[in-house]
Parts: sequence; C-alpha cells; structure tokens
Amino acid sequence: MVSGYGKLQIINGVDIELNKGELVTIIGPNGSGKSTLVKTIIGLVPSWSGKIIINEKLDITGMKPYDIVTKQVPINYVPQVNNVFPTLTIEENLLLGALPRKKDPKEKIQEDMEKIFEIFPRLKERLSQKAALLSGGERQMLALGRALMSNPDILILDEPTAALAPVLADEIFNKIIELKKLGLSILLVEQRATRALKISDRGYVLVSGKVAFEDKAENLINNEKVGELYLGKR
Amino acid sequence: MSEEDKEIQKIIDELNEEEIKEIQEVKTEKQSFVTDHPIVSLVIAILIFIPIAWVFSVFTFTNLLQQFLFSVERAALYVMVCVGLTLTTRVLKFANFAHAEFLTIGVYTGLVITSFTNASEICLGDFCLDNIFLLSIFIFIITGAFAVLGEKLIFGPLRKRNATPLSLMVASIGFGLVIRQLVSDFFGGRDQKIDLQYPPFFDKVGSNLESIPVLKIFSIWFSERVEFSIIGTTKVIAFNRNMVWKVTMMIILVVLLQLLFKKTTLGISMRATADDIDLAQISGINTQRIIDWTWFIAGGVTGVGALFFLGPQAFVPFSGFAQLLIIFAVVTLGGFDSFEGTIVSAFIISAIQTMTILINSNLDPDNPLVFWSPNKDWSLVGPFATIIVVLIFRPRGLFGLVDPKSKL
Ligand SMILES: Nc1ncnc2c1ncn2[C@@H]1O[C@H](COP(=O)(O)OP(=O)(O)OP(=O)(O)O)[C@@H](O)[C@H]1O
Ligand SMILES: [Mg+2]
Repeated sequence: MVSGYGKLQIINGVDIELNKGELVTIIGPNGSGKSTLVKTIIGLVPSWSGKIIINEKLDITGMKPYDIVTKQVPINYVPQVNNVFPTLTIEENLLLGALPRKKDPKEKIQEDMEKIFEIFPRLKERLSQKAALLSGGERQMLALGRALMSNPDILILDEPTAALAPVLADEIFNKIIELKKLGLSILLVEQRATRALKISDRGYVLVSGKVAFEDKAENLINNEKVGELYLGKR
Repeated sequence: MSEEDKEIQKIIDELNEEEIKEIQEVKTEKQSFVTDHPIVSLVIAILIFIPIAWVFSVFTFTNLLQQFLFSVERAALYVMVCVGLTLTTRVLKFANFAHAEFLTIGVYTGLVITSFTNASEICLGDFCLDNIFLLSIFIFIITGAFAVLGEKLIFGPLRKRNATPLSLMVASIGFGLVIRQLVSDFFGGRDQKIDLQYPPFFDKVGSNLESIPVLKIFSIWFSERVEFSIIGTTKVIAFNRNMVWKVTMMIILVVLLQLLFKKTTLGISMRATADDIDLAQISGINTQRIIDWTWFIAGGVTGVGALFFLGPQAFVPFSGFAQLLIIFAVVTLGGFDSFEGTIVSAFIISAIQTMTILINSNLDPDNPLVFWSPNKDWSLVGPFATIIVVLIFRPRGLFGLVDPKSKL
C-alpha cells in the first residue's frame, strides 16, 4: 500500500496481513505513519496504490468509511485522538456505535450495551453526561465501548492506552486479551511496545512509512536490533 | 502499617471522595442548567425584560403589557428564521449568507401558492392549501429542496475540493445575490402581501369557546376578532390570532426540532456529524446524506418562518436580505452554533429592540440634550450595542461551545 496526505507521501509501500483470530501489533517511532496506515485501511485517507482485501476476496480499496462499516464487513476502528463525540451523551455515543447493525433488534443492542457496562462500570454512572466532560481514561473506555457496540469481527485500535495511567492501561490490555479470546481479529498500534508485543501473535515495526521488521511477537522482543532501537533496551 | 497510619489513610480517602463528589456536582449543575434546560433560560430571559422595561419607561401597565406582547411576537419570528442558520453553521462550519434567500424563497413560494393557484379550493377536509398549516408544509418542502439544491450545485462541490470556510462564505454571498436578482426579475419590485388564512372551522370553535367563561382565553387561537380589555379599565390591547399563531408555530417548530435532535437517529447523527465528521463516517453515518438533511431542515424551517415574518407585512424580493443583519446578530449573540442560545438570544434582542424604540419615541425631541428623535431609527442600535458588550465579555456568545475538540 502507498498513501499520504495531499501530495505528501507517508506510506511508502507497506504490506501487512492480519489472519483470522490473530492479534497483530504495529510499533514504530512517532511520525512513522502508523496512524496513517490504519486510516488508509478504514478509508479515511485515500490509498494511492495497492489493495485492501478482507476475507481473501472482498476489496474495500477506495470505499468510504461508512460503506465499509455498514455494508461490507463487521470492522471497526478506534482513532488515536478525537475518538468520541464530545457534545453527545455517553448513551448517544454508544447507540451510534451500534448504527452499522441496522438489522439487529433494539433489545439485542440494549443487551450489548449492558455488556459494555459490565466491562466499564464507570460509563454506566454517567450515562446522560456529555462525553466532553469525561476524563482521558474514561474517554478511551467510551471509545472502545463505542467500537464494540458494532459487534465487530475485526477491530483496529490506534494507541488505546495513550495517556492512560499504568493501571488503566493494564485494564485495557486485559480487555484486549479477552476480546481476542472471543475470536476477534485485532490490529493494534501501540507505543507501549514490549507490553503490547507480549500479548500479540505477530508484530510489525514501521519506520518512515516502511516495514523495517516483521516477525513473531516473541522474536521481535528478543531481536537485539529492534530492542535497542524501539523497545528502550540496552 | 500502624493503627494510627490506618486512621490517617482513612481520613484522607474520605476527604478525597467528598472532594471528588463536590467537583462532580458542580460539573453536572453547570451542564444541566445552561444546555439542558432551554425553556428555563427562555423564561429567565423574558423575566429580565420586564423590570428593565419598567425602569426605563414611564408607561402604564397596559402599555408595558402591549410592548411585551409585541416583543414576544417579534422574538418568535426571529427564532423561526434564525435556528436554520444555527443548524447549518454548526454542521457545515461556515456562515451561510445565502440564508437570507431562504426567507425570500419561502415567502415567495407562499405568494405563488396563495395568489397564482386557487389554493382555497384545494383542500384536505377543512384544511385548504391557502391556510397557514398546509401552506407551511408546502413552503417547508420547497424551501428545503431549494437549500439542498444549493448544496448540490455549490457547497458540496466546493467542500469536495477542500474549500475553506471563508471561500464557502464568499460563495454563499454570490449564491444569495444571484437568487435575489432572479426573484427580483421574475416578480418585479412590487410590494406583495400574504394574509394569514385559517381553516373555516376555526371561527365556529372560537365562538363556542367565547361563550364558556373559563375557556374564553383560548378563543384567541380561533376567533378572528377578540377584544381584550384589561381588567378594571377600559383599555384595549392589540392581541390577535396572528400574534398567537406566530408564537405557537415557533413553539411547535422548536419542540419538533428538539425531538429530532434528541430522540431520532437522524438528529443524533446530525449532532455527531457536527462534532466530528471523520468519526461519524467510521460510525457508519453517511455524512453526505446527513448534510443534505441538514440543508433541507434548515431551509424548510426558515421558509416557514419567513411566511410569518415577511408575509403579513409588505415584502419585496430584497426583504429577506434586509433581515440578514439582525439574523446574524441573533445567531452571534447566541453563540453561533447553539440551538438554545439562538432561542434565548432572539428573545433578548427583541426585548432590547422594543425598549430602544420605546425610549426613543418617548423622549422629547425638542430637548437639546436629546440627539435622537422619533423619526430617527435607532431600533437596531440598542441590540448591536448589547451584542458588542456581550462579546467583549464572552467572545463565544452566550451559549457558544468552546471548540469541543479543544477540550479533548
Ligand atoms: N492530516 C495530515 N496532513 C498532512 N500530514 C499529516 C497529517 N497527519 C499526519 N501527517 C504526517 O504524517 C506523518 C505520519 O503521521 P502518523 O500520524 O501516521 O504517525 P504515527 O506513526 O501515528 O505517530 P504517533 O506515534 O506519534 O502517533 C507525520 O510526519 C505527520 O506529520
Ligand atoms: Mg499515531
């Protein structure tokens, strides 16, 4: 895949793969294009060349995000920033998350919302509060909850633990492990590289819009060069 | 940990909990008052008007009441023609100067329907095409469709090419100009007028109500001619069916819009699109469809507002444009993208306008200290002076959102 903003090319030929039920992590220095890569996958940034294919035959290249999430595949994405609707209440945020599931009855959606509250009880207490008033951590929970409300098979998370206290980050990581156990395929972009690789099957190291390393997660952790450059090991 | 330490720890924990609770309470209070109870704010805005008018005037109660009614009537008209602009500004992030032409299109649609067709014979039961109810529905649809046309021809293509809010605004000025000229060429500059018509059964209902003492007051909604005398005096105030229906229509539109925004997927999607268009798309919202709906509803409401605002007076093709200044004043004072703010602001500006006119016309023109006189029109000076003062203290207007994203 090649993509970028305007005339500025950011992704310089990247080929990545996410198998069914897999948890794959993308790490890399700031500005290496990780967010741009996932935005291109979901259709927010136009792809210049290359193809984005789901389930081996479904080509979603060049489609609008709402077509991808409503018509094609149960895929959802949590952006790195601006991942909730600030002037909407928490309840409205979650209900909008369920928008791609037009066919499902109301009761089923309500049921799923209860499940989200089981995971994030804090959200339930503030149901009718505007999302702008949430704390950073609460907002990440809501963003994750919003994406989960669509009942996705594939989940793309862009730094879900950014700006979170270590305890909260652990909570989110545990949640991700749980989701994987439920059978979701997860593409995770993370700065807490070691932590993320430990729970992943495979990983990619993105540098200047190119894949510099790709391997099984444990191999990446033990790879001396990767360790030196990106995992803060000496 | 010793017993003592545990005690201290416990106290600290409790303290924190209480503090947190306090902070949260303050948060929710602010929230619920300003943004969640527009009606309360509205009542307060009206109540503020009374004592101020009282202080500034030498009037009798009758006079004051009369001015109050005029003021509310005008506020209702402002609300109807302003909320559409608030809506498009909030969702599309630019100031649409062609909004004035939504008024023009609305009122001329009304004119075409009432005078160029035999509207009084096209009926659904007792409701005929020329009465305000069916007429409003038709004006809504046609003005709304016109607004969508603007999106398809001009604003949509511009946005696709990443036009800035400034160039969108300039384009809207041009668009407005063209429409104004077209209407002017087609209809000529002659004064036109639309008499507000009501279904025929209204008069019967009215006279029935009049004969029942407790319900007499409600006859004002139905009877054409009801004289209201102030209890204990012989004074009569102007208070008629048209005034009542202007306010009633405003309330109906506001309630419908509130229901739309709070209860329907379409309305919530509109607010979501206004908040963050990328995130809206990821959530499965077809944002182009939402933008079309936004134009349709904004245009429709404004068109209906124009029927009541411009219709009963003499209007010309430039009448919509003539109101643009005051419309922007109302919307700016309200915070530009706040629905509740626009409503409250309409009442405040209307009240101040009334007061300015009152003070103006009651001052002795021969007094050398008075540099204005009744024949000088100061009615817009009061409102604009107020707006400047408010904006100095609150640059984002009364209810404007601090850029919601900046909070994140
Ligand atoms: N909207 C945009 N327009 C132009 N350039 C952009 C835009 N967004 C990002 N960029 C540029 O693209 C490059 C890659 O950005 P990207 O957000 O993909 O990095 P990242 O790997 O996600 O970094 P981080 O770890 O800090 O989140 C950066 O150099 C950035 O300046
Ligand atoms: Mg990023």
